[in-house]
Amino acid sequence: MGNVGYPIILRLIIVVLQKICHWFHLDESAALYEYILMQPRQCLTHLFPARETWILLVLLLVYLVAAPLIIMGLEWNGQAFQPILSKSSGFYKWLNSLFQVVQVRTSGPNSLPIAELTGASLILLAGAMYLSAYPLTIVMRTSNEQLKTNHEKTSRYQLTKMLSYDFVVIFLPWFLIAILEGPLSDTDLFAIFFEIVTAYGTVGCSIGAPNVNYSLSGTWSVTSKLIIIAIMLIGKHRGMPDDVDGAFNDWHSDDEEEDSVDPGRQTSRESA
Amino acid sequence: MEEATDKSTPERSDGQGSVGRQTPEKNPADPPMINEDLTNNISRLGKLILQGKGKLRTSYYVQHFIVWVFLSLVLGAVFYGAAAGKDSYINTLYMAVSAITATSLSSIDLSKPDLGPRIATLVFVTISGAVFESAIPIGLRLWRARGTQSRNPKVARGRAAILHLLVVIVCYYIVVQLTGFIAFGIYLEFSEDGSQIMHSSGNNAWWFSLFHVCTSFENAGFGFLPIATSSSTNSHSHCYSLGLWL
Repeated sequence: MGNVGYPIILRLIIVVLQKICHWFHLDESAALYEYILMQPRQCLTHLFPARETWILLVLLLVYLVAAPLIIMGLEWNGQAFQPILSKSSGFYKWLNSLFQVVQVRTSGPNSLPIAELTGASLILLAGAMYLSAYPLTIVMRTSNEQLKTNHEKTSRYQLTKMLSYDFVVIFLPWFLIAILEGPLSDTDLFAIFFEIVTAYGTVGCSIGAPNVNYSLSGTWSVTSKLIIIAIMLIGKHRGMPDDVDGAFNDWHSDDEEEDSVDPGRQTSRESA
Repeated sequence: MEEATDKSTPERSDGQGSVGRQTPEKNPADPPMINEDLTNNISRLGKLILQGKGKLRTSYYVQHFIVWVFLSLVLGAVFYGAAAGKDSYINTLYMAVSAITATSLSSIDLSKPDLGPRIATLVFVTISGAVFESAIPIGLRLWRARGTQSRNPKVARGRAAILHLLVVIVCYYIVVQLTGFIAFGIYLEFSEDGSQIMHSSGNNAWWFSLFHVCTSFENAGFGFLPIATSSSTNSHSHCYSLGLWL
């Protein structure tokens, strides 16, 4: 509700408020809510037109249905479900799998022991973390009315731009940290990759380290920590609008039209 | 006098110079209007960024990034103070960046009952969430437009609309978190599973609820429970409650 579902729920709330105002003949408020629904990206960075909001909703639902089933299938008899085998039930396995796939798209608490998951599940989670910001960011950028050309507004253009950028941001730090923290086994190398992806996706789902109650990267050297800090900051900016956004637009387009309420601040145009 | 007037009017990027909006003449007897000057300066900065072309316009991302780096360094120092110097600056910087980017990777053991790091984490996480951040541009626009009326009905309607939107966002922000805080707190305080978790981990149910609901809503996911042991697997209601607010 605070991130992935925010644009969807906010639009739903605005639609409901608009209907309620209409029913109670609060025409002025209804018109304002209708304006917000018609010009969402002029009002807010996280409010999208109806079509884009539906696309986000469908993508979210597909993910929430498919990913838990895949995790359950991969881990059904594995170590990850051992702690809840006393309440051996498909429902609890599904619930914990659902919790896990929801959290890897956004935040960090785990319902399954990450270190006990199979390699295939970890790759699936890494992919989910990496792709987590894509739908929202691409919709945000393509719906930005400040973009000049139609080419810039296409999802394919924004996707290609982000992928080429992400490649550098993920693989260069992976290489550097592997040098700094070496010698490493294949498992360690994957753990580093997982840590980098989770930092870049601003998810925070770490495989962890033995005998410590913090993330794997918390055990690394100062230089490696600085690299992870930089990745977190870059990852945070991945989700922001590509350019000055339409939602900031009031500053320049409206100034020429405004007059001061205070008679002492009358503009020269009015005086003329 | 003429020179002073020119300086007070920012040059427009479209080459129209001072043809546009002009500042009113100031009566020397008037008291100094500090707030108005501050508003004008911020407004000019906004115009420079928004109307600028070439490097100035496209460097918006870089400017934003630099501000965040500076903010991280400062908040890292604040976190260091909150941790009473028990951890190194690199670790507190790491935690501060992790909190303000809502990542939740940690280099400090938050399961230890140290209040300073926990409060610092909660505050930093709260200001980093998508809902809070999305409301900032609206607040800035309304603050910029305060005390003025537009003769353009389209602009006036737009301002009224974003004011309505801001009210909706604030209500959403408060109601969702408050509901989660109460529901999760009741569960932790009064249910068998919840009270067992609180007893074994030595946490207060309401403080635990506040921290976890806020950090989940802001999509950070910091927690008081040890990372290695997943309480959620032992408590399915806990898992479900938190999952709802994610």
